[in-house]
Amino acid sequence: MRKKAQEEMVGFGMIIAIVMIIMVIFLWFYLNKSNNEEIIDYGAKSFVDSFLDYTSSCKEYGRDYLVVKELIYWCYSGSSCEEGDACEILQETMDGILGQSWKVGEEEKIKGYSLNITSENGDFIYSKQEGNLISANSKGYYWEYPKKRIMMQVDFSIYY
Amino acid sequence: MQIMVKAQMKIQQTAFMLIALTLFFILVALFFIGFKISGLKEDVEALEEKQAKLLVSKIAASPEFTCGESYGIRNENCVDADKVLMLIQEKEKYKKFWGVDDIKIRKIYPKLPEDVVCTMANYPNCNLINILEEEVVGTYVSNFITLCRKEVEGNKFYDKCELAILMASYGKE
Repeated sequence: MRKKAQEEMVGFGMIIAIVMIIMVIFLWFYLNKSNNEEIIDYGAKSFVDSFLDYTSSCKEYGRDYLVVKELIYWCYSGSSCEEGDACEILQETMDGILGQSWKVGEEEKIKGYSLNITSENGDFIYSKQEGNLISANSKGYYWEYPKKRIMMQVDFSIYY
Repeated sequence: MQIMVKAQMKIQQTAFMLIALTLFFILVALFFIGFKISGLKEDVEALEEKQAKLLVSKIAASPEFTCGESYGIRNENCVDADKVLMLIQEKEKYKKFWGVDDIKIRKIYPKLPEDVVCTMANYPNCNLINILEEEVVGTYVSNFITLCRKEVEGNKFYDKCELAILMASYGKE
């Protein structure tokens, strides 16, 4: 009688163990799926796409004004504009764009952001972090484009 | 008599076992339902936001707004300001065309000290284009765009693109 009861306890334990394993597998799939889906932020994407085509105040000698996309390469290659140093103009332009586009703060929906513009070699061309970047809930957009055989990388993240 | 008691014990044992199992599965089901519902609200909000952004992108990419090939930009979020200014002259014809209550474009960089509504008289020294309505109508959803126009310097034309947001309203209160 006691042996049979013990066998039934083992059976019950096994059922619990199987259900637990199924739950863990479900959770793993569920969390993996949500992580993959929610990485891209459409606001961040439109922001990056838009500021890259912004016409800066940097004028190529005797030619047209450069858009930010070109100005980034101009800065990377150490070139100058008619108005001065390309990197200084990039810094000033990007600081202005970011300052006017994103309101961050503890009371705001967006707690912070970070923008890193680098070359494929990892050289920093422009970098800015604002607000609280500790939040685990972050989304963003990564974009790279070629300019004279060098890949320029733009990584923008928003922290909620 | 002995067999009867044993049988009753067995039935009782099976009944307890069934109750325990049922309770256990109910708890597991509650856990799953709770887990699903907690994520559902966030999913709905994210989906609504995504749809709103896509709607704004769709408006920006429509022939009445898009830069096309005019500025050498292949950005889907590029809006031709010159074209839009012409469009507002015909706003009555377009009232129900995009299925939204209002569309506005606000230039955000470079920033002007105060809001100046664009008209044929002050363009391009303005920062707000009211496309369908003059007033604010309901809640707006927005997306960043590149707002481009042809600018004159000396006797030469060049492309001038600025950063703006395109806002669309469903009229939701």
